Amino acid sequence: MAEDPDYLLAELADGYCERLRAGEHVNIEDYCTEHPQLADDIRDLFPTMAQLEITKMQDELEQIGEFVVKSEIGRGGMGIVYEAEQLSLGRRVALKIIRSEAINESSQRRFQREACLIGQLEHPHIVPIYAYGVEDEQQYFAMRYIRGPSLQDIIDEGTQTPEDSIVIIAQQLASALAYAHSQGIRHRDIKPGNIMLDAGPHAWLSDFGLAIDTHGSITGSLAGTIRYMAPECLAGDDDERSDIYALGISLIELYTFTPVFPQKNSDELLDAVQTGLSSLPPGIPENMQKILSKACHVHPHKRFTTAQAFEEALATVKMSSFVTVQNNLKKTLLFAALLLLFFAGLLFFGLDYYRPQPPQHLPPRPAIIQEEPQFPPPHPIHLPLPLETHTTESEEDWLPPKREHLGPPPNHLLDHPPKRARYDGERPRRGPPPGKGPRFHDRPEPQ
Amino acid sequence: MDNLETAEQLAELLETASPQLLRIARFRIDPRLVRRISPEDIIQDVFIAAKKRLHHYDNNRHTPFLWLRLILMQTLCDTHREHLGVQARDIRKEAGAVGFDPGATSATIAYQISGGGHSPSVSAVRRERAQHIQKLLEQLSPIDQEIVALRHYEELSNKEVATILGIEIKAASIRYVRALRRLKEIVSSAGYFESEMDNG
Repeated sequence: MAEDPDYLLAELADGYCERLRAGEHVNIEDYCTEHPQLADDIRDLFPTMAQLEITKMQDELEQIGEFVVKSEIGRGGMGIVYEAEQLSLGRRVALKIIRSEAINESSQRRFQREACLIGQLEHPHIVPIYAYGVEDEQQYFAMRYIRGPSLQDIIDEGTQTPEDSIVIIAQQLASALAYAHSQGIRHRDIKPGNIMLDAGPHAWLSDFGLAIDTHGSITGSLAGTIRYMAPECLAGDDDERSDIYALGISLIELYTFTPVFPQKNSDELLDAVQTGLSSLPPGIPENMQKILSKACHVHPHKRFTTAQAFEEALATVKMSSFVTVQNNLKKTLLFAALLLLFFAGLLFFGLDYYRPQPPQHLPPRPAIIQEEPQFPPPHPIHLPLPLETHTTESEEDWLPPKREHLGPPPNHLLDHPPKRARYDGERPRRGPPPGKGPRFHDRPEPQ
Repeated sequence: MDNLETAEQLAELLETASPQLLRIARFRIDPRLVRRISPEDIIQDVFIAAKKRLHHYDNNRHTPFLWLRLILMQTLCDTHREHLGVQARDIRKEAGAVGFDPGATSATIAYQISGGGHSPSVSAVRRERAQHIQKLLEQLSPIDQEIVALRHYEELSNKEVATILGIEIKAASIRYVRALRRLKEIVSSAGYFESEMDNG
């Protein structure tokens, strides 16, 4: 029975769907490599399964409280984050809820605590919480919606981030950490997936789902993602410096686009994390090497003692790179100024040089004034026919439409000769040849 | 858990099984009933019934989870009859794999997709989408529909589906893979999922 392909497929589907439901990113190709004889079937059918699961999951929730759910942004072991609209304020938010499968007393307690923790934090680089609520025993909270991408997206896509921007991002995140630590809160799950980027760059630290305040007790001693976990966390002996380590590892990956610890086998991964980095991977700029290797040191006591110290160290990097930016700016400005001077000179001397040669260039102006009668030709030329035959039309062109409305009650005008006289006087000024002036007298006659 | 003898074992089982039972209840409950009875209430009834019937549990006939699911199906059936005056869905028959209510599964799937019983209003877009998917699923045979529902909406394993349908696991596998292939054909000819296909 084991050789039966349908049986194998159906059994594989069990594991595959289970992993999808757990929020894992599952690569279908992994299954293909593992079961080459089924590769075609897997490529054929697994996406359909995935789609069924995704459609089902996405539509499990539509509105909670005053938040209308639009689409799923992400899901973790415990929570799901949706993009949602807050009806009362008409704004977009990120809405987090506990997955229905994960609802139990302890998860509910943790969820509420997460909301409270974020509620205490107010920092320009920590995603703020807007609201918390419970509906039908379903807890939820709304946070500021950050479009992203997350650092994980950037790493996955291999998008080059300018070195200066990385330094700025690093500094922002270190300051967010320093602030959180100063409030007695440790994040404990810093990883590229929990860092969002806005234009700027403006980095946002999010997902305090595993955070604790330092006086609290830890539920589930092994928290976080092993790849970004400091070695001491594996022994359940973490502190603020473990956050610094995780941030350091995340930043390294932003330069290298590959996991610092790529091991897929969990035992190997644990070993590698425990051994620590012997040296930084290639691709880290010189000015960051020292700082990052210090931040990611395997021994906590050799790391920065506080996130603030980390931030300050990063600030020096920022300054030096800022100086080069400034230098570059100065050079550019100088070059632009020189260029401007050059062109100004060229213009000046050029004009001076050319003036006598083609006298038309400069003299034309006086010429216009002097020989004004020569310029009007365009007007008569534009008139399609002799003025005599088309006077009405040509006058309509010349004068505002009102004039025609003035026409109909001409008795009025005729009864009052002084007005007529004024019209006669005005006419020539408006342009038509003086000979056309008396037309007003002619017009009423048909009546 | 392989066996179910003591009240402690039952309590443990109820704890671990409740999320999935709740999911199944939400999936199978008639939309007309949602406003009157919450799926949570039904699960409560299931727990009470399970405690009463614990001594009837036969390890050879059911796994503990499937036994609970069976009780859930009976409870749902009773609730439907009580409130709607009819046997809205022949769940017992369904559970015994004797026959399927042709309209039932696709309607529930579409209902589930349209947002289940949670929302006060179902947006037009979503309703449209649900109808679209329902149309696609309706093109599957009732057996195929039911198998897709059991595997993906009730989240049952291959083995559990075989037990519920009372067929060999191999036969259940063949039916499932066949149903998936047909669904895939229908879906790709309708061009529905293509744009949002996600392999990850």
